[in-house]
Amino acid sequence: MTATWRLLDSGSGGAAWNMAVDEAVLQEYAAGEAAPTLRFYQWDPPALSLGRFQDPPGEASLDALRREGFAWVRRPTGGRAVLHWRDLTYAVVVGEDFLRGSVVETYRRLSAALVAGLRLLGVRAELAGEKAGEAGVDPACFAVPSSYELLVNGKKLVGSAQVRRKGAILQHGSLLLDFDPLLLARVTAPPEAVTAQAALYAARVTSLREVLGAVPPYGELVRAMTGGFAGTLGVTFHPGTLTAAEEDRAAGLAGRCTEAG
Amino acid sequence: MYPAHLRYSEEHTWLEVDGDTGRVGITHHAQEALGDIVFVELPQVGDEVTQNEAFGSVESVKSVNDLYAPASGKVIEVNEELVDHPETINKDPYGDGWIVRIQLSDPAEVAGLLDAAAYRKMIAEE
Repeated sequence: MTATWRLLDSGSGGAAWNMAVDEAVLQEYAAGEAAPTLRFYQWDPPALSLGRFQDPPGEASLDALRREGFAWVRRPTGGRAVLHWRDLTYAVVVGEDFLRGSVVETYRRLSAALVAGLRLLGVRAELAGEKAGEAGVDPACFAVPSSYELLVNGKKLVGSAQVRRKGAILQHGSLLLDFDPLLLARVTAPPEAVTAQAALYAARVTSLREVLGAVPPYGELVRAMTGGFAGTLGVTFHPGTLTAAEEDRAAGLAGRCTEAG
Repeated sequence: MYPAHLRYSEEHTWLEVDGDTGRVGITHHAQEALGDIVFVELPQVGDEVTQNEAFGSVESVKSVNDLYAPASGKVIEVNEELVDHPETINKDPYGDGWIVRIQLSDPAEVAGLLDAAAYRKMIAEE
């Protein structure tokens, strides 16, 4: 029997709300109250998301974020800073019983779904090797490819992170539609390091605009990526909305979220 | 891989009982599934922990995973070495990679934990 998942197309939201919804869906799923879910969303205003255990942004980063009118938020997941500027963010919430195996094995399976979705958009992405990255001290997620993250011509296109709680997995990640290395450097690096960091990001990070020459419309992106997940994981998607309980949880969490803007 | 003198929880933690206290860590299987651990969030001495509830978390490969207490009690010692060297858990999960020591509040809970053979069987069936 084919598993049925809920498809949530959330459109654009604020940073605190976006993270609160992912967390709320995870909590409801862990409590046995939600269906496995694939969610897509964007960020308005753009925002820097930080890993659960990262230090908060320094003064220079905060100033840069303020000047740009960007927010920042802490993710429930691990990893490093991601600038959600012109990106499509996906989130998967599912049980460890469906997505079995080690952390790296689950990345590999979900990355295969992302690769399939990108192929529908005409992008040929490959997976970074298992022993890739993770070492090093760069504060930005996109500076270093981790195991099974998506590369095009050796440059990172999607960055993902996970949290697991009581048998439930939340993995979310950012597919870059467009990329501005200087902008990322300004909001993550101290002023004296901005130029060097921007050059490094330019060499290591790509975007759909760079690969395809243009950014496909939002609806086409969501359709293609959903198709990638459906085919790779063997699941059927039904468009849905948040339950009342998820809405309540998310509203409570968003109120508590760290956000500055 | 699974020392016989330890007791194991279904959430992949171990307990080494010593009188009415016990040392807690994660199993070889758990550290292998997590991959390279880069951060450990520890409780504080004096915190109360409850069996099967989260008492801290570890991050590996950008994945944050809760740690579940194998037994209830009060935290009397935490392994501060893990703050600077979280990878110790990967290298020596039953020795230098221990995480906390707790004052056991309900010794009867220990009887409900798995022995090494039962834990091995459980992970083989996963």
